Amino acid sequence: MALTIAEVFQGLKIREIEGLLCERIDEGVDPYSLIKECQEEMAKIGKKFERGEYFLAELIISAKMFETVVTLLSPKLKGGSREGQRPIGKIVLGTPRGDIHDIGKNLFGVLAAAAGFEIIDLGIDIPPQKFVDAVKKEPSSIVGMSGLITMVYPSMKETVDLLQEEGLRKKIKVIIGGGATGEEARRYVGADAQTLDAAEGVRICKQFVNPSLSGGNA
Amino acid sequence: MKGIERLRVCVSLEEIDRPGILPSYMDRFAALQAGLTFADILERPDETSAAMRRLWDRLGDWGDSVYYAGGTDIYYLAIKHLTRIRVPGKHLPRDSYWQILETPIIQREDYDLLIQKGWNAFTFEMIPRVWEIPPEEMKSYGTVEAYHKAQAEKSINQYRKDTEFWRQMGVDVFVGASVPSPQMALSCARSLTEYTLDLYEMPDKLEEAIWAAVPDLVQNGIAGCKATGIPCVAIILERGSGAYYPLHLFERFEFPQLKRMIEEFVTHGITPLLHLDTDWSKNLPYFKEFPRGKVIASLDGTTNIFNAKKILKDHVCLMGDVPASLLVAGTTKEVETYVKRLVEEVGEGGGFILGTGCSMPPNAQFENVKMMIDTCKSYAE
Repeated sequence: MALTIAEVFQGLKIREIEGLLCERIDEGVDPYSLIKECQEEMAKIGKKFERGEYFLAELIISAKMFETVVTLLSPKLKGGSREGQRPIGKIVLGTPRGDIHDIGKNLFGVLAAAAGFEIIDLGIDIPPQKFVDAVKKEPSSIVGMSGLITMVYPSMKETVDLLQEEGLRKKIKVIIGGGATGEEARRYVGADAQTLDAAEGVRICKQFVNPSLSGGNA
Repeated sequence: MKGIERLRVCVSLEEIDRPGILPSYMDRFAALQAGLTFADILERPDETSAAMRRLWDRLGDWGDSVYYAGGTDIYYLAIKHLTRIRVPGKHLPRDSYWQILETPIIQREDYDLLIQKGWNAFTFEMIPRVWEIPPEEMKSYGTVEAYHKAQAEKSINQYRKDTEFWRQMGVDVFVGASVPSPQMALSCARSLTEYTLDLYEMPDKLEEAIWAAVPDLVQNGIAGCKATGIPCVAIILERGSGAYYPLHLFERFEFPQLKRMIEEFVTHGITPLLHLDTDWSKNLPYFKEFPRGKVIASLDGTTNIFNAKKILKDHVCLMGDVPASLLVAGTTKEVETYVKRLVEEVGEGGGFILGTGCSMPPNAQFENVKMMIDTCKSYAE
C-alpha cells in the first residue's frame, strides 16, 4: 500500500516524497491542498522539536523534504506561485555583509515557509542597503538576519539604523539569529528578538504577526 | 600558584584559590588590536605572534598559559576538516574573516576509500579537492606529497618558534596539537545536511568509515604533541551534540570513538581538551565514563555550564564559557557579574578553568577582555 504524506514526513522518508507527490498530482489532487498537508506535517515536526522529541537532524531532513515539495509543486500552482494561499507574513531574510554562513538561515527560511510565511531570501554577504531596498520593494513585516560570526554585528546594526533613517523601522520587526548572537548582540543591533534556534525563530515571527500567540522571547 | 601548574591542578580537580584562566584562539583578537587584518594573520605569522605577545603585556598577562602559541594555519584548518575555506586576501577582502564553505567535498562512494586506506591516506588523496596549490609552488615541489610535507614542516617550525618566544617570556603554551573527532571531520567533508542524511540512510557504512578514521586521528594527535613537546590535544567537536542528533546516534557515531581517542591520549600522558561548541547538555552524563581528572570539557556558552557542573563535578574539569556576544557587545559590569558567577558556582571545589565560549571574538572589546581576566584573578589568595 502506498504511503501517506503523514507517514513520509513523520518517518523522514526523504527518498519517497517526490514519487508520492507525483502520484498525487497524477491522481488529480490539487497542488495547493498537497502543500497545505505538507505544511501541517512540518508543523507537527516543529512541535516534536519544541518538546525535545526531535533534534536538529530531523529538522534538517524535514526541511529538505519541504524544499522538494515547494520546488515540485510551486510551478503547478496557478500563476506559478502559491496563489490562493495567503501568507501569514513576509520575511526579508539574509546573512549580513561579512558572513557567508547559511545553514541556519536556510533552515529558518524553510521552516518559516512551511509555517506559512513568504520568504524573500536575499542570500549571503548582504549589505545593509540591500535589506532596506528589499523591504521597500516588498512591504514586509519582518527582517531576519542570521550570522555565525561576531564580525557581522556592525552590519546588522547598520541595517537596523538604515531602516530607522528611512522611516521604516516602526513598521518592521527585526529578528537576529546564529551561533555568535546573544541578548547583548540583540541590544547592540537594536533588533526586536534574537534566537539560536530556527524553530524558536519561527515561533517568534508568528508572534510578531499575531501578538495574541504566547511563548517565545520576543 | 601560577602558570601551567595551576591549570594542571584544575584538570586534576583539586581545590584551588581561584580557577585557572585560559582564553582560547587569541590570535585574531591580538591581531586586530594591533591593526593587522585577517589576511595578515595568515600571511605574516611572525607579526601575528608578536602582536599576541604585545597584547599579553598590555593586558598584564591574559591567563595561566597561552592556548595556542601563534596564529592560524589556514592550510591545516582546511586539510584537517576536509573543507574548502574562503581566504581573506585571496577570495575575500583582506579585512574579512576566513570562512568555511558548507559544500560536500566527498561523496558517499568515497567512504569505501576511507575504510580501505584510513584517514591520513584518504585525506592526502582529497587535498586537491580542498586546496588550490599555486601552480608555481606545484612546479617547485613536483608532487602534492612534497607540497604537503613542506607545509607540515613549515607549520611545526612556526609553532616551535612561537612556543620558544613564549618560554623566553616565562609563559607556557598549553595546547600542543588538535584533531577533529571523526564525526566532526566527516560532517565538514560531506556538509551537515548530506552527512545527516547519511546517518539515516547508510548508517552501517558510515559507522565503518568513522571507525576507520580513528587510528590515524589518534596518531596525529600523539605525533603533534610529540613534535611540539606539549602534552595536550584539543579535540574539535562541533557537530555531534544532543542539539544535532538523538542520543542513540551519539551512542553509535560519536561517543565510542571519542572515548577510544581519549583513552589512547591519556595512556600516552596527553590531556584531551574537548572543544564542545553547541549544546551538549544531553550528552554530559556520558562524560562520566572518561578517565576521572584527566579531561577538560570546554563549553561555548550554549551548554548550560552551571548544570554541567552539577553533572560532572568531581569527574571532568570544565572550561568556558564567557559568551562571544557578551565580550563584544556587553558592558564591563555585565562581564564582571558573569565571571563572578562562573568562579563562584562552577569554580567551587575546583575543576574549572575560565575561558571564552568557543574562541575569543576578534572584535571583542579590550575593556571586557581585561575585566574577564582581572575579575578571575581577584579571587587569588
